[in-house]
Amino acid sequence: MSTPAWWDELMSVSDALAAADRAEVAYWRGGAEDGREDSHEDDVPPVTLRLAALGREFASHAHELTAEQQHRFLGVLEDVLRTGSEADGTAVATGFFESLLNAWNGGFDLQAAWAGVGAESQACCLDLNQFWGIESPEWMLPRVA
Amino acid sequence: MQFQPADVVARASFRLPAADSAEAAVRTCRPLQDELRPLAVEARAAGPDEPGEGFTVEFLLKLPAPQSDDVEGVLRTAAAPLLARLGLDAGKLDVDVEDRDAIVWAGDEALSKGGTACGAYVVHLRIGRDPDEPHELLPEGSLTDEEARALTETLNSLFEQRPVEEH
Repeated sequence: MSTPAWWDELMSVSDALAAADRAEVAYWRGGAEDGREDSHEDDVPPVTLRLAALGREFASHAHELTAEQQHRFLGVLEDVLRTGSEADGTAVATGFFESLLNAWNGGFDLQAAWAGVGAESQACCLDLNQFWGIESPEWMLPRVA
Repeated sequence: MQFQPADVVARASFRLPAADSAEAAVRTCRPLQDELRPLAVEARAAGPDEPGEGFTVEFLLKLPAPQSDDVEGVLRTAAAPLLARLGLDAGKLDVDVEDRDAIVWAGDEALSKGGTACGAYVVHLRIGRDPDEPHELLPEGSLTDEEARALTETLNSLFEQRPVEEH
């Protein structure tokens, strides 16, 4: 499977998140993190899985990321949702944001990061909550001017 | 994703009713991914027009295909091994020669369970492009003078000013 063009920009934000992605790829290949000699660059997990892993890592390392890093990381994903392909947008929604919401359910302070989540991404989270039958708290709802 | 004109491209859809997330659904399909080597894997919650509940995983595949002008033959030959592997009936492959595509659904009994043993419930194939891409409204390549004239006349007739009716 190929890696989308926007992946490098996403990985440039944080060494910790980039390392987590490398670990996910290594796990997929069933080998060490530096990869088997016969591993092809396209032998990578589906984007949905990589984004799900990043969602968990983002939640567990959020306190180590600067506000600027969070903003940049979430901004790349917002751009994918806004202007990327339908397949990439679905992967961001069902991979990253589903994982992030699961982390929230497990205690991650999503509210602290919510202001940095783009409008399209916020709408995506609200849709996921609705799909799962979870009532979105007041702070997640769009503010009426 | 770009394909060559002679490529046979398929989308195979699987139902994962027991998966509690898109990630879990994709991980469940790992053995099939290793076997079929899809170009892309997508996952989403099941839509209202899809059988059962849970998640749908879709593989985008490029199938080995014979070089031939026989559209139906190419599609049936390319599809046969995949359909056999997924437990779908190749005899029920519905080929549209004009659109250069084909589709086969799992039988009613399998559909009532969500899909075949591996969860497959539909495979859609098309020559030269992703089956999910919308149909072209115009033929590929340049129009002949006659085709261009006919198109112009049709468009003119559609957009010509009509007198406003008085009420």
